Amino acid sequence: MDNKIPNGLVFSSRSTKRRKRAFILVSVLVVIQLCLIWPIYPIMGAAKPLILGLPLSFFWVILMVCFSFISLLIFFRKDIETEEKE
Amino acid sequence: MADWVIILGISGIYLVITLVMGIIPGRKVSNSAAGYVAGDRSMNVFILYFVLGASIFSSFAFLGGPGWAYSRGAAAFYIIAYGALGMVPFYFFGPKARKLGAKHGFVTQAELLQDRYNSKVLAALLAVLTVVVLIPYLTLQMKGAGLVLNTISEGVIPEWLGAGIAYGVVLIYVFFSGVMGVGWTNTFQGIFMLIIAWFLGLYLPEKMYGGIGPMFEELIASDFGEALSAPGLTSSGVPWDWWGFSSAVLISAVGFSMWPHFFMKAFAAKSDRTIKLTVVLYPTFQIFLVPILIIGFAAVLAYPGVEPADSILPYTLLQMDLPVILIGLVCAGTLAASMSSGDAIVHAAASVAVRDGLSKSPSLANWMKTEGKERKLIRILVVVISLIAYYFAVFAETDIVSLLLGAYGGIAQIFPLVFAMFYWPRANGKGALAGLIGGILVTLFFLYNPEYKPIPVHEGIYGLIVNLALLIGISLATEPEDVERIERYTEL
Repeated sequence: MDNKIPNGLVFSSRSTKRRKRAFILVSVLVVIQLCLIWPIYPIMGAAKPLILGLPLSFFWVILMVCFSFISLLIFFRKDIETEEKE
Repeated sequence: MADWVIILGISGIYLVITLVMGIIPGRKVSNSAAGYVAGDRSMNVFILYFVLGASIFSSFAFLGGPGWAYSRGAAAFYIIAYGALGMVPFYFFGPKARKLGAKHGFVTQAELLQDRYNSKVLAALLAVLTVVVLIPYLTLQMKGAGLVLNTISEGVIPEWLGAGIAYGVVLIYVFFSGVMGVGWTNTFQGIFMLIIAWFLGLYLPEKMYGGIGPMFEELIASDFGEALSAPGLTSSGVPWDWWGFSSAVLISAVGFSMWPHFFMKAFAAKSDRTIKLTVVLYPTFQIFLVPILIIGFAAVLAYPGVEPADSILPYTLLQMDLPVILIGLVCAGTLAASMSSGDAIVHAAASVAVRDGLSKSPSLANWMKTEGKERKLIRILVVVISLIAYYFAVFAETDIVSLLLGAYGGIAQIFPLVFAMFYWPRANGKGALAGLIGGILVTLFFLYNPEYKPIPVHEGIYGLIVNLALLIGISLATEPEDVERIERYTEL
């Protein structure tokens, strides 16, 4: 067997900083996803109180979409900065 | 003049604009397959944003979305919950796929997987899977268009004619312009449906209840209040359980970026940054589901007991005393939602059928070498696939919705293969093939025999577990692919 092929997962080795950022992003997104399913969504899934006129269960989902947008935007801006430096 | 004539007139104007917008861009791309299937790899952020956004928001968004909110309450938030992150994998996979596509001439997802896993069988299998899941999808879009035109014309236009007119237009511009026709019309249709959705979502609660807040206050105080607590109700009206809700969200999020008509747009993008920015901006499109669901909630107290729930939007519009021009615009908006998905689907299904299916036959492959021949064959397939879907939409009495529900579970099975393609060098063709086949079979088994499920989660989850086990186990037990091949995909 060719020893050059490792058995584990391989992520890009070009920039350790970007890889680190990507892992942070993915962790944040996993938390956001968990907020939208069991076990976190049941805590915030009641109809009351109304927030900005929306049931809590509805408002919470919209809030998570906003969070995922913000985290991606931050990651993207860093990504572009790194690309431009290279 | 009768009201419905004005409404149809507006829908007619919309159809003509769409047709013109769809035909013009096709004149600019080359007559190669790369021009027809991937738009010569020239799409900018503006177009790509609307292509991906509008092709996902199908007639399901305008008909099914309000229908879910109306009949199942908080269960409808599931549609927003999976889209929040569903597109994210594309941020990482998309640019990699684009680069390889530009270098080696790939224009479909299966071509990429075929090269990485060194397996023609895999490509052919994906071609079959793609066509099998996309045809019912297209059929549903056609039915949606037929239903809308039939409802607003007060039955004067039968459903077969309504679906025929709308999809005749789609057929013409997809036939002539390929993906660029899809691109420009989806941009127009996307902007159009966004405006209509936001307008209705704010206007209806205002007019019926004096605002969104007062509307939800009344809803919570009513019998429907319970249904507004997550995870809402099932389609039979009993409370949904968290297993079902959570696993449905997960499997849809995993499958989201794997839809062939979605993934292959990576090859049409102009640059890596185009793809990344499109993914980043996508939640702004996703938020458009908020007014869509509000439309459904607005109808709960005013019009109880409407069947089927999917007809609640056209039903509400006809019941309320709305200006006739507005109703016309909404109908055109619903047609836009149906057609902007239908065009991408028929284009993808035909492209994949030719590139990954038919071209594997040596004699056809030889014939297609001549300039323009391959495009010709894809165009023929565009017509054939449209006709098959139209046949199902109008004449066949098969249960299409259940087919489509199973589709997400099947599509999600592609995810492990795509992930391993880029990040797991040890994965090989045998493992990929076993994983995909095993995953699909298990998903199908539990779809049709739900009573055997150990816990009540989505059947696609069981498929994914078996898929991963086979992909990892068989890859490790057999020889890896050549180093040169893997190095194209993963830095060793």
